[in-house]
Amino acid sequence: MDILREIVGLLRAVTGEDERWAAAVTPESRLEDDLRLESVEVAALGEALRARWGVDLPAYLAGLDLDQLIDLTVGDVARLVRA
Amino acid sequence: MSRFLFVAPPLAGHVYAAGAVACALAERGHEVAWAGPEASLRRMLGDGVTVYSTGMRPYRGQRDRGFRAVRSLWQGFVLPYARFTLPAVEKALVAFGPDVVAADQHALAGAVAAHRHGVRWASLAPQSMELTRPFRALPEVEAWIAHAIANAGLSIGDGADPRFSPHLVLAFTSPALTGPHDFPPHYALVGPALGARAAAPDFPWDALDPARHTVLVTMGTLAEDVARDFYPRMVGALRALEGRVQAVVAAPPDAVPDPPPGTVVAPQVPVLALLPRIAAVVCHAGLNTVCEALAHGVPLVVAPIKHDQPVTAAQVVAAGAGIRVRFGRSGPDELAAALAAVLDEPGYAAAAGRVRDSFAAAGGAPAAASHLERLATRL
Repeated sequence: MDILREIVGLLRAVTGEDERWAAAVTPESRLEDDLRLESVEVAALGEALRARWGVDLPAYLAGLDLDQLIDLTVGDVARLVRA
Repeated sequence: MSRFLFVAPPLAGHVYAAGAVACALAERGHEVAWAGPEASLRRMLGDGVTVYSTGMRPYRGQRDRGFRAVRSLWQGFVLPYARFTLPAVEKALVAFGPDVVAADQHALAGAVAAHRHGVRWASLAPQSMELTRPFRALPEVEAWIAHAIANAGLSIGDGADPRFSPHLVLAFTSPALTGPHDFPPHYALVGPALGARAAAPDFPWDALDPARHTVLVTMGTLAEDVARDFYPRMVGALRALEGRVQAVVAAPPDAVPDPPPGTVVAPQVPVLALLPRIAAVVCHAGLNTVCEALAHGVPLVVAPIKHDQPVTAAQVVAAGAGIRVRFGRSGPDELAAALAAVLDEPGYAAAAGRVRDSFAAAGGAPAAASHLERLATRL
């Protein structure tokens, strides 16, 4: 499966949102402003990414500055998974 | 006798805790004064206090959430507020001549003025954000805040941080809530400082139904516009539990559409007077509200919105004293299930009771007053 679609599936799982919500998610969707992820949901996403691909989201976030954290997108997460 | 100048931003969660400490000092015969926006301070502290007014400019509403709220809190409020009030705070300090300045961690002008004039100062930490380093895992965010303070010309001494007094940091919480941290020895965790509050004479005490659990829903003073999306879902949860739960909702009545019969919706609720009759609190995890509930052994459902609230919510969950839900997303079923769980499963109330006991042992406002007295007379 396409990594982006799989990440959107994980986002759906951690938010409990529906298909319509998931269909509107694009690589440009920002986790904070667009998807309105709460900190517990970001933590759950981190767990899911680690379980699926062994990706360390907290370590990635630790390297970002405040503006980068505000503007973090689904595409950024996909790039992290592909890296 | 000593002289104490309190400097706090005009926000309820900050002023009430500082006010209780100031009151304890005044009762012991000390001279106490405030520096801040006079009208706002008097609304919360009454007409009996001495206020050196700093005025304030209007600040953009704090509607942002998440990391954007971190940026807007500092750039949009804390730093411009400190810069605007600093000259007036310095004048107040010169006029009043305090032995100690008690400066809120978000009223940086107090710390800067005290340092410039060689007066001892204490930091007041009425919220979780500046105490337990929640951004420890995000070093760039911690560095951004420190740089923003320095760039605003608000550093003190050799780049010291005006949020953290080297003499005394008073925090209105306890390790039962914060969890274990390596707090330096000059940090005093005194528990919540609960003082007298303005009465709410119109509260309909007779409307409370003794046959049902009374639940308090209060989402904080900053949340009125953003909570409008939350209340309809909360109302759905209250409907599901209507047979055994009666809610008191602290909100403007038009913000809470169509609540179940018997629900009390009032913009002003006498929280401290009400808490002995409350079985659970649903709130935004503001530290002040959380501590008030836990000081009465009342378990919580926490729906944090922003700032330090996710930190405090995580502390409530770790202490076992409540359940965290999602402010922006939890539906009526999830909210009802969380509320039913804290009401029905005795572990939550038992954990809340343990935090209550730790708060009582921490000493509250009188203990905070004693720390400030010792700082004032220390050689």
